[in-house]
Amino acid sequence: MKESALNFFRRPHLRLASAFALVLCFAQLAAGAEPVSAPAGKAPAISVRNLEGTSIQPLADTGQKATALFFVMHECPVANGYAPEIARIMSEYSAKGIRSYVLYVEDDLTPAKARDHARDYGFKSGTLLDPKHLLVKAAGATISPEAAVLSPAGEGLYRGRIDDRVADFGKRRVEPTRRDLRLALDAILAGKPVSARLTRAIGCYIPEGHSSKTERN
Amino acid sequence: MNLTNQTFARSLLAATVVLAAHSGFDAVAGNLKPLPENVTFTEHVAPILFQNCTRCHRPGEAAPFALQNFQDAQKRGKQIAEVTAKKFMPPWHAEHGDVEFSNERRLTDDQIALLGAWHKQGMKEGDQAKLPTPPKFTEGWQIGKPDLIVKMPEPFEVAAEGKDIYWNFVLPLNLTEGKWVRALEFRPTARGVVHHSLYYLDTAGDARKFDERDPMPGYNGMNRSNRQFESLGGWAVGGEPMLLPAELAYRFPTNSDLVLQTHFHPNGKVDHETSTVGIYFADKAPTRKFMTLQLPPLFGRLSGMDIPAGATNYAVKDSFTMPIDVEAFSVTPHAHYLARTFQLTATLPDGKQLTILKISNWDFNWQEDCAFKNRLKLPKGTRLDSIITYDNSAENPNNPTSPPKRVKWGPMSTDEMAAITLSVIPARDEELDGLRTAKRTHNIDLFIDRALEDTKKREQVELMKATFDKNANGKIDPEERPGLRAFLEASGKLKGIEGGF
Repeated sequence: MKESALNFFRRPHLRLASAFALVLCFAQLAAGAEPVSAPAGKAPAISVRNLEGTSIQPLADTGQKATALFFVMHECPVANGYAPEIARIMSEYSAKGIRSYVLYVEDDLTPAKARDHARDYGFKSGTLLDPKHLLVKAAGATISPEAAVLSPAGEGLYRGRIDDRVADFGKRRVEPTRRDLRLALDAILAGKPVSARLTRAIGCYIPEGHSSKTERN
Repeated sequence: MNLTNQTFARSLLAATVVLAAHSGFDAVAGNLKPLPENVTFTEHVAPILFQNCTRCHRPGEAAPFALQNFQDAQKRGKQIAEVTAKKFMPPWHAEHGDVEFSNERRLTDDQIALLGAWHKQGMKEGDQAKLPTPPKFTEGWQIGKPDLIVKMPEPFEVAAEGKDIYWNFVLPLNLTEGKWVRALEFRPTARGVVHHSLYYLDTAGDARKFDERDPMPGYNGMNRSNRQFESLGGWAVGGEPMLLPAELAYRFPTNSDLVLQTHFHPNGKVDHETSTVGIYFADKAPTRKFMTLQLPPLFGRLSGMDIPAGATNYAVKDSFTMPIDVEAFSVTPHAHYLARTFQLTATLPDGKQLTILKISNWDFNWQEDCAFKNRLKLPKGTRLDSIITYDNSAENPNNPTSPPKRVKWGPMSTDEMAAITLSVIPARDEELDGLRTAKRTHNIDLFIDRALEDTKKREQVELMKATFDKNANGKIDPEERPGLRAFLEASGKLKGIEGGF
């Protein structure tokens, strides 16, 4: 993918400010403080492209009860192993008012390759590209796969593992003993506080910087 | 099948799979080389990756992503630093004892420190002139054109998720004459989900019958053990085939079927496997014999293992004294998900102790054969002691049963097994029978020990004691055993336990 094709943001200063506000939310969440709302109760206007190239504002308040983001890398075996569960959560909670997206976070992944991956792994919709890590940074995600849940106002409500089936590299339980993301979403839907708002995801590290070549076939 | 063939065929993984041979011994702890001021990809990282990682981490191979160049490494720099520091990668679990392994896949502490420092220093590329030549790998069959190629008759579908799958596939060989075989090469199609495959030779047509019981391709490998078949080694991720030394070969009679027991890891998408196996014939019959010794024998079937739910350190032990001079050339651990540690120690007649195998962090997913760099002489009178420990607590994330339940020996993934298999060549071929007899005696003694513990057959046990416990001390002492062994052999009760591993 060419760098210019990714440069589709029209108001970068606003985007950065919003991202900063979200990072603050999560920083406070991590420190055990109460999450704060984004300025003026409005969700940050971060725009990214879906796999067909359409610009999407995943965090925009359009009446959803919360937004769930799944950060993945297409060659990450841990994320791939979770694909069926991610697809199930997206489908089941969509009916309950949770809007969900899968975010491909690699800067060298072409939309065509992402489309192949989404088809192979059963992501039917809600797949986005985040090569510039706008949402990665906004949510504070560091791992593939990692889930983040935000309120319509942009508050961080949950971030971390989907469940505890992966205990360590190469150590995978047959069944999870705690389904953290589902518990968080259920609490949010019931208007209750999320009991564990930050958990540790185990998987592949999201590259911290951009790779030196954006084109790699 | 004659004695020679059986003993050859029973080498578990030993001779056919030799994984890429790599680095040497670790630096002594605390004795690391000073790190260079500027750690770069071209000078420091590329040599490590090219030699230890790229074989699997390249397109078309089993590893999930490539590690072939600077961009690949930079993208995964933090991951590389962490998984190598944790010794999750490269996958290799045997620790350094007194035997050096030729197929060890282990980085030295210096190499691990370099990878960590490279990430910490910002992953610089460095001087292009210092980049070593990237490794070249043979495409297609690794050891040349096979003499015979057999393929799974139909594809096997692997679901997107769920438990690991162990499935047996029967590949008829249709040999018109008996053959000596020097190597097998396994080629999977679904490399992302095929983790390993063990090869067996069925000369009785049993596997075909198991296969015919349902319309699915093959049959479930965890519901039916392949113990009755001859083991021919296997392939695991990262492995490469190796021709047997000229002095060794397997015997394949005309009526043989090849049975593949393949382990699949579902990984997010539906996949299909149609394995192909290349078979390489030997020109002539082998000139040397080898056999395997298993501690405990029969994969632990006679060990009496009975692991209580919640036990964190349950031990299964066995001992065997070598009746002849042998040279050992490989060791292979086997257990299921609950095992945690393995140790095999040899005490030589002069009292010297050697650690042959030590694993502190067993991982069922990596069925590794450890091939010895140099053959290890074990003189007559050497005592082998094995200990395998198990964690059947809820805290063990590998525990396949939640909440934990009592676990005994069995073929299912929720049962357990116990074995450390040592492949040995007798110093003198004519003494091989002495070793076979000692193995058989050991098996019968374990059978007697278990029988004495059998509370359900109290009457028979009392009768046995009344007849053979001459000194009436309530036990069957070593000097009282020969009579009981002879009685049991004559009784036909030992079917299936006399030979075995």
